[in-house]
Amino acid sequence: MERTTEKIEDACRFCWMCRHLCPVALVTGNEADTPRGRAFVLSMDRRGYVFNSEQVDMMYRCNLCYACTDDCATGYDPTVFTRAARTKAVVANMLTGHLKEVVDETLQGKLPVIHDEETKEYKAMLSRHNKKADLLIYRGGWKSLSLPFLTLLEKNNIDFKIMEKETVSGSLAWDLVGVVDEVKQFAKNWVKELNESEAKTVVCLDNNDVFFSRDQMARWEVKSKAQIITTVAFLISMEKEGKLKKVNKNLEITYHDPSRLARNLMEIDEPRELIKNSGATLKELFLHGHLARSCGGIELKELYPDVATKVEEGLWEDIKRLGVKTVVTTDLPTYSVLKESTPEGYKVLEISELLQ
Amino acid sequence: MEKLGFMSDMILSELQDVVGIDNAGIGETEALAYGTDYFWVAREWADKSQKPARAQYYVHPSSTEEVSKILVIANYYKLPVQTWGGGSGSQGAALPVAGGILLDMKRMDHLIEIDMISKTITAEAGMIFQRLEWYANENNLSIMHIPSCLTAGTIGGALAHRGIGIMSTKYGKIDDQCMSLEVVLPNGKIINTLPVPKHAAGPDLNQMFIGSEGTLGIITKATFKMVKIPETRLFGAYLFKDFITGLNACRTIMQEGYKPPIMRLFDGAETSSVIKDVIGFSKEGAFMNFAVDGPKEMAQYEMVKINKICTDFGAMDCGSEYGEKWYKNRITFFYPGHIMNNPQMFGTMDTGSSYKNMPKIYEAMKEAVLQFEGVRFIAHCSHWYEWGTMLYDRFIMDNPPEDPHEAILLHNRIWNAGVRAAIANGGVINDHHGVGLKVSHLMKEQYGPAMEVLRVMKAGLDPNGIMNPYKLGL
Repeated sequence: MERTTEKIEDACRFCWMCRHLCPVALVTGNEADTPRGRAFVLSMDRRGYVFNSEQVDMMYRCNLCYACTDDCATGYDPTVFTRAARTKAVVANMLTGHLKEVVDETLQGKLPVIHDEETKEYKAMLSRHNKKADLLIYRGGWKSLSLPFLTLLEKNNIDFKIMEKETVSGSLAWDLVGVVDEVKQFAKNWVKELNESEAKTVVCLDNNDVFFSRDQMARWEVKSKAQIITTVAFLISMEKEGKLKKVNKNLEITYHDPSRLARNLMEIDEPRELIKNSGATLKELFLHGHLARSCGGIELKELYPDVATKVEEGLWEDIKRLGVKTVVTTDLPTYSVLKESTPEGYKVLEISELLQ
Repeated sequence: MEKLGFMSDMILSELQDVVGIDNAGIGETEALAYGTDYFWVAREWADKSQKPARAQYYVHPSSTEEVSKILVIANYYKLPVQTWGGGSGSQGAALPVAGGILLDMKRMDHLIEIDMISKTITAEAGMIFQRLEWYANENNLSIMHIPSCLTAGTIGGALAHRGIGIMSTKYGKIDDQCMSLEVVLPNGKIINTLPVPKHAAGPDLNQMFIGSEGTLGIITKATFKMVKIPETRLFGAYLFKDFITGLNACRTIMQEGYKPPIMRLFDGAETSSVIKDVIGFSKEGAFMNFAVDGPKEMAQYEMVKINKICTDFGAMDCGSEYGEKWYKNRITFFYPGHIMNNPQMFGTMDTGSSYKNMPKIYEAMKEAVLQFEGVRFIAHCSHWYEWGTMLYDRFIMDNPPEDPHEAILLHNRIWNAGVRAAIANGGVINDHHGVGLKVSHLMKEQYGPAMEVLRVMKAGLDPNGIMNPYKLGL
């Protein structure tokens, strides 16, 4: 796959083929929000047009859902030039307002886009699982929203460790700042922490951490000793090893594929297998699997809440047409977005909730 | 009339009052993004660091009523209005070359109704066509408008330039598939064409606005017929000794009463270049792929009959594999890396004509294009009727002049030569890409005295001439 920023910009600048899948351009209706629009503006920057603060916003409105990349018949990846443009904007000190605050905090090792409560139940869970174990659950900053999955592990007698304080993986900084030394250092620190835990398996509750480890970190050759996997992959392994107690849910549901789980990690059949074995009846959204419509994501929600709301509404329109009232998903950022935007009369379940 | 001093802000305030602050602007980013469509000249201009054409105002309406109010404002200030759908048109029809307002329709992308009894679907015109098709597919139906720009263009864009899809031979062109329209006239009045397209209540208003490229009004809603997704689709491919033999075989297929939704015949040059590159077929001759569909028994019967005709014309049976491969890659051809791209110079001079004229049109256009040094010519026929077909002929120049002015002038000379060769031999200046800026100047030659009809219509509906100036020869 081509990874030279300029070549991708010049390929995409006159290509409109993936625009029907761009969740942001579909709701803003603005040509500037399409992968083609971004590529064209950046290609003109190399042809004498000044990259300005308006265009910085344009680059950050992309939620890096990879729908465009997944669609490209020739393998061009618009996220490469989008991340590179973000790097350029940060280096040139072009960010302002809330965007600057969020990026600055991210570079300080914080997770400013995660808003999750530290409940009593969560604290109790922490205190019960603070000892060394072969399985480490990397929350990625999530707190009480991690409880359904952690409770499922407890109910199935799985020994695991969770850390009260975690080192950031760098995946958020990778999205917001791009491929830079600071992000690589985050990744190295993360791997050090994972290695020091002596865990054999690390389950990440944010799929982006898994994708980051397999994509950019692999390119940097920053590798952990432990296997880094998604919650879905771990649940499947539990099931195969007979460690997942049978349930029988008499429920009609639909499943929303988180973008990076389906398009980057290609875990499409696995969640469906879990749903099937839960006894629930799955009614598929018309756009599912690698074609799934993005819910927007927590970064977009933090930076451009108006746009994020429209993207969420777009997905809910599809769900409403299906006539199913319960939506199952996985990946805590996705779960969080869907839960917060749930219309009256609908319910969102994290996949672990379906399995207990 | 020049707007001096603060008038620009006054007009922007009025536009924002209609569509909201976030949906009307004068930003530099939008000026860049909307400055180039698929038209080679616009691409060349940008590629060579020239300043793209720009509007004064970029406006994004969300309803028919907003479009109406914008046109009233535009008429009052005599501001040109250029309507933008997907911006993927190849003729430059959406480019804001006259300044004024760029009206992007993509916020108007809502599904309005699916009538499961009549099997029709109605939506706002800013919807990307693929999404409309998906809404139909959710109900096991299809509009069967499957162009290569399915994912790129809007409903309004497809209608505005009289688009066509790969299934046209059986399922028709966009003008056959459209049932009715809602249109905002240049003075802001909202009208509807008749509820059904077949009637004896005077001329067909649908056909006045379909193909009008935003010069007579703005299409805001459209209703299309749908068909059941076929139970079976079977594929085939043949190799003819030459293009003209293939043309005669395909004519026979059509005139014997068969309706393959897909039938594509490539000349030797395209067989040995594009077809070889994308589907890996590497024999000399004229490659033809086709599909038949419908209830299983009907599709099988048609397949047998078409096979017989091809064999009678001495064609080599290439089996279903290459027909299927073409179908699977039908859009791959148009992605970067496969499709021509700058700095190459290229153009598609699709023309339609009768079977009687088509062989001489093919030869005349080829000769006209190849007189230019360093230019290649490839062609195929892919939309068929009982009376004739469409020739999709392309010229490609791998090393055009570096200077953009010189390159554009040469580009236009090649176009003039090719299209005039088509007109002189009974062809039309365009089959399904539209007119836009590209061949606007040739409309008078195409229509002759009949151009008066279009001029009078334009003058009556748009007396201030604000609607998409310089396009469609109007």
